[in-house]
Amino acid sequence: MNHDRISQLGGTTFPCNTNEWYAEIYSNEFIEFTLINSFSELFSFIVPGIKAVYDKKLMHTQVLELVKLSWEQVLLLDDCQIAELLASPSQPLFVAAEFGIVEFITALIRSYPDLIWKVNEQSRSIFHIAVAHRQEKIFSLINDIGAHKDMITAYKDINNANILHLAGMIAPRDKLNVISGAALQMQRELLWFKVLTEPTTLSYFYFEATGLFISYFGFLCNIFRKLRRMCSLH
Amino acid sequence: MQPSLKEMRDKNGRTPRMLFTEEHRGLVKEGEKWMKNTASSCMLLATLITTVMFAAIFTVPGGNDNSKGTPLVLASTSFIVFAVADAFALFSSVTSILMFLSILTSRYAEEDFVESLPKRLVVGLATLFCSIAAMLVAFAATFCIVLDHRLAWIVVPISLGSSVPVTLFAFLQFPLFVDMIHSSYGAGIFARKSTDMLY
Repeated sequence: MNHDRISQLGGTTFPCNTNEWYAEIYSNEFIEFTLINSFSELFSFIVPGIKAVYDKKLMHTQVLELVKLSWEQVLLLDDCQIAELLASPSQPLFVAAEFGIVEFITALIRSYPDLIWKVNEQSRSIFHIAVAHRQEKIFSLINDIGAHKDMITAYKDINNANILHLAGMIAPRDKLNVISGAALQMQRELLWFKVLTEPTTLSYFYFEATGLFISYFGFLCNIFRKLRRMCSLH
Repeated sequence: MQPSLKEMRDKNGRTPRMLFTEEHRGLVKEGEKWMKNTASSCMLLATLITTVMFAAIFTVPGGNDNSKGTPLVLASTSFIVFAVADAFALFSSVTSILMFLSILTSRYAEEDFVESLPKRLVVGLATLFCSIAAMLVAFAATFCIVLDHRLAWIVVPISLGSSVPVTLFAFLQFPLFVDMIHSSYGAGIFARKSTDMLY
């Protein structure tokens, strides 16, 4: 990490050196932190592998905290600058969706809900990417966005493939090989396809039923009108 | 999802279902091969156990009374244990044979991989395990009957020793069994925890 200056974005500066970052992250958790630290030293005598696990866990929380803090700074920019930032050097949102980093995505979307509508250059949303890469945690977020779900899932990518086509394509090898046995792999693939094809929301049916009712009503009106005309002719 | 999505066609004019079938043809074949291999090797074992257990009850330890045909050791507790364990092993190995047979003769449609095939394999493996365990119990009981008069001290370690293969089988087959149970009866991969809700 660069010590004197990390980055400057649209007039807002991030804290300049690592010490400031630490101070910000642990400002109110400092006492708790030292307590855990002394405990972990005690534990590492008893259980040898605990240090690695602890370090990894600590890194996760620190990274998440870092993401949240930098995202707070990003949110001070205006919309088109945010869009540029998410699109240009790398696409953090879509990469996170591809690798199933659900904490990152929830952190971003909670403070900026518009992100669910963003699509990548293949015109796939994060949910499309989650389906293509079989990231069930990311995909499950779709149940939290309510009626927008139907609109987002109706997106088609540049190959004219919708979200079901993406589920129909075979899963990436690395995701598939985690499961033991070809039969269980096939089972998992079928479950994905089934979950996507089964109608889960009532909103669409409600919509359909209203449409049907309206057309039926129109049909009755037409008959009535014709009858009246016939009657008046005679 | 909206039902209309199912009928949409992609650039090559395929519906999602057509695409799925086309893309997963290889995996279905592989899955079929895997299932058949697993089932036929387990079935071999189950058949052996059935044969042995069927024969064992007619050649009881200690022999039969020549005039009546009843076993000579009919009164001993070990004999009851032997008889029950033998019958249990026979029944469960026959069940297991039937389960594996139904896997071998299955039609292997795509849909079968969701529930019917994994569940059959689960039941087959479970009954196979039961029959092996019961077979060793029957062996230990026979051992008791035969050696009861003299080498009483050796009966306990031998009986305990017979639990080793059962444990081994359990440990060796356990990962597969757990995977099967987890994916067929578990909450599924789409189950949510309230901590990772979006809003």
